[in-house]
Amino acid sequence: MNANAIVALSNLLGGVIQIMMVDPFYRDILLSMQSEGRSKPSDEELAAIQARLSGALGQLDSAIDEKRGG
Amino acid sequence: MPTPKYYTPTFKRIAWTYAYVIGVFVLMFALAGVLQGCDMNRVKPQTPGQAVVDAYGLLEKSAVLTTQLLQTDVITVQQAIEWRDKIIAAKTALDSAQLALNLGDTSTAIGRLQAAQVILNILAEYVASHQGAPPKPEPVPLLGPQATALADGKAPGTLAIINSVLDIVVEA
Repeated sequence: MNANAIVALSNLLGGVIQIMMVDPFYRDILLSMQSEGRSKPSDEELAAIQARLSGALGQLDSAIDEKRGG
Repeated sequence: MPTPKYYTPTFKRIAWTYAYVIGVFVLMFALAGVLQGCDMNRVKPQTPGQAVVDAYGLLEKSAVLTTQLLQTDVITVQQAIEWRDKIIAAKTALDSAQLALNLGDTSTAIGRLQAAQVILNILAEYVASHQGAPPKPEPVPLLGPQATALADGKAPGTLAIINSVLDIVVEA
């Protein structure tokens, strides 16, 4: 097995594990909703969720701008 | 200490071959265990509201993965922009699903949620073509009368909403 194959395999395994890992933030909210029998997230939870998504989109925008600039 | 007579180059080659094969099997079993454990840790949504939370999580992961793939030059800027537009379209659908839930309009919420899930599936296919196996959203949990209405095609505007969002995606 050559070095390229090892790098490709480790990248693939890392990617699969990273994608499959459950984010504890969302897991905790879902578990809390299910244990408390709530059908909707609370206002605080929803605000936190939307802030995280907006943050991730902001980072994506920054990366796009950086690549365009570079 | 004298080297044993059986410790020849041929013996070493065969031993390494066996060790390599056994090592690969151990690695595969370990990986299968990790993946199974991770999947079991995933909390499956049981109501449309919980499915919205789950979809938000997958959407955030899509945005993070897209950023990583762009930063490591796996995808181009143009591809990143295309994916970002789809993420924003799904976010809009989820925001509107959440709003409909707050207003008590579950049928509309389910339609918006399904539209977001269609886009999430498209994003998952994109990510899959570049990195590993992606997560896909769980089917929207339907309550009794809503499930019947959707199955009969009587839910207000569900298919039209999905089609309109898909049109936006295709045009983007």
